[in-house]
Amino acid sequence: MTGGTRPEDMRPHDAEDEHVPLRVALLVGAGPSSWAVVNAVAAAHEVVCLLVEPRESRQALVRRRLRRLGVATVAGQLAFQAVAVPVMARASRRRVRDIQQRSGLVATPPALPAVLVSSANSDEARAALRASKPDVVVINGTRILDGTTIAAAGAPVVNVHAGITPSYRGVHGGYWALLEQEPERCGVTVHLVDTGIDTGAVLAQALITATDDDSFVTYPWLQLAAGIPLLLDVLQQLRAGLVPHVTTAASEHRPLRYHPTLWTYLYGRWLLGVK
Amino acid sequence: MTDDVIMRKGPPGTLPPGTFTVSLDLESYWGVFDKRTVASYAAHLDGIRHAVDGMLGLFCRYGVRATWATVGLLMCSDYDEAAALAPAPAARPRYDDPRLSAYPLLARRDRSLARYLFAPDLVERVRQREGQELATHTFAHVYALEAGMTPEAFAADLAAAKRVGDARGVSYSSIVFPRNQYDDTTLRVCASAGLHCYRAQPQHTLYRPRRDGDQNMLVRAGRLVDAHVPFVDRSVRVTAGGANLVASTATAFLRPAGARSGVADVLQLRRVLAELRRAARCGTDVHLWWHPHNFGAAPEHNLERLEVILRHARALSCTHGLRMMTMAEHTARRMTEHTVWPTTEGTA
Repeated sequence: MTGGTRPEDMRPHDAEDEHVPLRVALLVGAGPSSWAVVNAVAAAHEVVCLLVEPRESRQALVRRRLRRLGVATVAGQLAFQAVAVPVMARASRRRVRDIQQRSGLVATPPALPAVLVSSANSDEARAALRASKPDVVVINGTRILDGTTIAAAGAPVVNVHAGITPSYRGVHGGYWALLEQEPERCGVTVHLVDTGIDTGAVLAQALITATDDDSFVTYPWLQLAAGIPLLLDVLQQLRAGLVPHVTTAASEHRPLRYHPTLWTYLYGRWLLGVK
Repeated sequence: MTDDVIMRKGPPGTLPPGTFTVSLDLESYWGVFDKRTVASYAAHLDGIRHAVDGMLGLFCRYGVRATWATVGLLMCSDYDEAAALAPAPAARPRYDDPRLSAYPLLARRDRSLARYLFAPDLVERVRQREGQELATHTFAHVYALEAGMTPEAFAADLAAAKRVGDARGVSYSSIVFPRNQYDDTTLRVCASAGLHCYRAQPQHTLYRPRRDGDQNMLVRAGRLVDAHVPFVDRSVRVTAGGANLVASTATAFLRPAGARSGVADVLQLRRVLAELRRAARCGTDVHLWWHPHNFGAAPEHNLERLEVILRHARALSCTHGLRMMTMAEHTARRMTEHTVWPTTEGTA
């Protein structure tokens, strides 16, 4: 089984094909941030395939995390999502709208034919990817792809990750970077996808600056606002026949990030002012 | 990695950046000789080298520029050098309370105490690190406001401190007064001795420089509460004191924590971090000070706590341009910004 797309395997367009649109397959989760990625890519390139994976059921997610993190941590995470996130989401509506408008993000469902797949690693998803013969596959908000799916793509698979890898893998990398007092690592990464969790070669990174109006629920939008132009740059380079510059990130033994527990969040906000 | 900055609130540079200054009173046993026996304080004194190394490591890692106000006697190699550089007996302070004088301790020449009294290696370690300022904490940890001290005796003590500095290749521009005792007369003496800045106390009754005997329970309790739940106005003002000596006003004393964090430790930590954020956002100043020997009894825990503060300061330096400065740099910067307030302070 392959370990994913390696930088040397990237197959950009021939330089002669510069005026031929890049054929992009999109494999995304259902949600506003994925719609923003899809709409931005569709505006610049030919979308040959749009596969949408439904959200993983909450019960399945909780069971998986219970096995990995234990009862106390998962209870704290659920409390955080049940209590703190809705309050922040309500308070940050205007700020999110502001970020979307300023950055030209269109977070509404795209007017494109989409195929709903049961899982990004399902046979139907692999068959659709194989059949569409894309030049590149862009993913966002899906579960971790396995080697068979990556191989089925037959093209580089690229992800926009909300965090600076390899320091901040997992979810909400912007928040964790601020909590750990590393604003110089609060940002977004465009990387090649392999079978690990956000471990692929880095193609581009950008930092974000959080204002006093930002919080846990707006950092991902700031990251997307910075990450989508990076993604489009990478795609443009592929279209122009260039191999994007690949950074082999130094390996760091840092834990995979999950949602904070309610008490971690409250303590960090009280002590360090990280919202 | 690109360095894109998006959506910063307000144009950058509309406020002068805030500053973060650290000053330390490096004194070892000379800081407590009139209050504690060596036996009762040995744990703190034994841990001081480890604590200083830890602090220097953290300062280096987080780009902190600190001022180390050092007792002159501590810079001496041994009793002989201390005696040779000390003021003549007639020029030494003659306190009404003779226990306040360090010279009887020096005269005992107790070999077993020497390691707590002399540490030129410690000073050298500080000197070798970039961005660290050596300041004077007087030669013999003398108290400017205690009965029996005279301007002449204080001047003689500063001259001795300068002799030690010269012997070690160190010149001073800043002074921190032992027990924070100073008045206008003392400031004029310091200016005459070629010093340019000093660490001042916040302008509030609780922090008014006073004799040790005047530190009543009410004052101590007030400061204790203020350290954890601040109520004193801490808008730092660089003040032109006597003879134009410039003040860098201390905003917080970092109280030592025990081996385990208590509520008070966390409250104080939060207060310091909040002050740093305010300084970064509003362009004000934070000046944190402590004694390295305070860390000695529980160095690991205190260094961990210090690291939280320094990480926060470094993060604010990245995001808001908070600037780390020694006392000399801080006062020089404020002078060039023409923010000197023409008030007199420090009258006892």
